[in-house]
Amino acid sequence: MPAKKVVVFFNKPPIGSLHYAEGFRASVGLGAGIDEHEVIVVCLGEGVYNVLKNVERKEVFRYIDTFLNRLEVPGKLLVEEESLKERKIEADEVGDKWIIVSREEIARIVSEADVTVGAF
Amino acid sequence: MVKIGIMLNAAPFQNQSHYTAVKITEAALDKGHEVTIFLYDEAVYSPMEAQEFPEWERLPKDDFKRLIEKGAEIIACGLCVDLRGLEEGKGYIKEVTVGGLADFANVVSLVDKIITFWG
Repeated sequence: MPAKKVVVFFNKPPIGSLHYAEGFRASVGLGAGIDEHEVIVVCLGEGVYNVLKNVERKEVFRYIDTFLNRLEVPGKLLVEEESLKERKIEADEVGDKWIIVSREEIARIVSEADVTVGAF
Repeated sequence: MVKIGIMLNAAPFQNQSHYTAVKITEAALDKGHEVTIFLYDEAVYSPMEAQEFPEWERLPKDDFKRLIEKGAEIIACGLCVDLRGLEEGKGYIKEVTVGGLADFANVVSLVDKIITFWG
C-alpha cells in the first residue's frame, strides 16, 4: 500500500461537541496499521482553542501521545498563526506540543499533501 | 475513472449532509467512478434496516441499498458502532460491513480523492 501525506483539519472548538476527540482518534488511525500514512494535524479558525495550554483535554491525552510518539511516522501538530492572532491568543498560551505556522506555510503543506480530511 | 473515498460523519436525520453525500456518491457511480463510504460517528445510524417512517418514501437505509446496488462499498467504524450499542451492526442492511479506522487508512491509500461530510 502506498503511504500518503494526509492533512487533517480541526476548525471546531474543543467544547460543545465530540469533534476534537473523534478527530484525534481518526488521525491516529490514519497513521497506524499497515498503511503508515504521514499525518499532519492543522488547527485553524475556532479550532485554535484546542491548542491552549489550559484547555481540558483528558479525553485525547492518549491519542496525542500515540500520535506524536508511537506511530511509525510521527505525526505533527500545527496551528495557524493568523487564526491565533485574530483571536488575540499569544504564542505563550499555546501548548508546547504545537508548532505555530503561517497561513502561507499551511497552504504550502496542503499543496504537497496527497489527501486532506476534515474539518473536525 | 477515479476512486473516491467519502467520510460521512453526520447523523442521518438532522441535516442535509447525508443526502448530499448520497447524491454525490450516486452521481459519481453513474459516471463510472468507484466510491467507498466510511461511516464515522453519528453516521453509523444511517444503515439500520429497522428504520421506518410511513410519510417518507425514502429513508437513509434505502439510499444506501441503492448505492450498494450501483457498486458502492460502505464500511462503518466499529468503535463508533460499539459506542452506540449497535451490536456490531447486527441491525444493518446487508453488505454494509463493520470495520475500523484501519479500513479508513486503507481507503485513503487506495483512492484518488477524499471528501468529508460533517453534520
